[in-house]
Amino acid sequence: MNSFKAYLLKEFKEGIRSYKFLIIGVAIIIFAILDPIMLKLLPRILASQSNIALPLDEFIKVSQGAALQNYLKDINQIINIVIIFSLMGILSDEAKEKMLVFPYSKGASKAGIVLGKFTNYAIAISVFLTFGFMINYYYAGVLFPDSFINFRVVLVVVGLSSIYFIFNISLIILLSSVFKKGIWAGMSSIGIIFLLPLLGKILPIKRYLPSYLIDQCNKILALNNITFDYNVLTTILGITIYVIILNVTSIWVMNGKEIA
Amino acid sequence: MFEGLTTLQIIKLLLPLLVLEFGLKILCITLILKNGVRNLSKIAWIIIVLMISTFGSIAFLLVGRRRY
Repeated sequence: MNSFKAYLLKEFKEGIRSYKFLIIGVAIIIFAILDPIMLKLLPRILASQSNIALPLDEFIKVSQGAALQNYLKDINQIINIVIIFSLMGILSDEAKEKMLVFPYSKGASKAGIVLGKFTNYAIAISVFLTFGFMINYYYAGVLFPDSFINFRVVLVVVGLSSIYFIFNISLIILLSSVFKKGIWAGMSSIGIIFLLPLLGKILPIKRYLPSYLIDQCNKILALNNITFDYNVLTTILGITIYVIILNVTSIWVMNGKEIA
Repeated sequence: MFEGLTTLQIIKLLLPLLVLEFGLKILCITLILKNGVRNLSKIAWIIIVLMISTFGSIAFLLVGRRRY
């Protein structure tokens, strides 16, 4: 427990010192502001690029819901990559630079180290996502006053996307404990995270995959209504089990790792 | 372009974006000049940070910043 508390605090300070929080926070917040503005300007940009005199506003869906869906898409793609590249060296770099020798020699528990890192970034990314969606909701509301998305819908989307990112963080931590170089952990995380939705399209396991939560977020935003889907509970339960397995495996890998 | 919004409202909307973007660029250039860089030269990183919006700064903070 002491190792967990110490590493939670240490990782928080490390996140500030190494600009990891800044990178993730800026990426999430800049896209939250930029997406509704770009969506507002998109029909005009397209009209200026082409000489066709078509009412592009009618072809391109521009509303508060579309702005939120656009932001969700960016979070799932670009921001996901930024998060992976920021956290890819979370354990491998520390092992490579022999930063774990001193804590290990002082009797720090490996479970405390892994869980401290996981909890720190799980909380940080959930907080950033909450701020990001609130900012996006506000901007989209100001720029598209004709359409209105229920605030409770946005809160559900924040919750589901946070759970999705918690799975991603535990996967990155596991791969970072397995690989010696952070870049390999990053590349394999990107491969797995972006291939999982494809797997759901080939095999009938869609609702057991974390990407099902993002599909549900899109559905909820498109309908502007919280339709209770029992499959989501299966997905959340599945993700809880995956996260436990991934973290336990990370601890097991770290226990067997030569760090000196 | 932004129908129904006054100039002041448009400035208010864009200001946080500009502050974030320029703040990030200033921080990155300060870090480049003060602490040094890795993987590329200082000039190359300054050009990347100035020319590529947001991602230039993020790329520098991820792979260009000198670690101690």
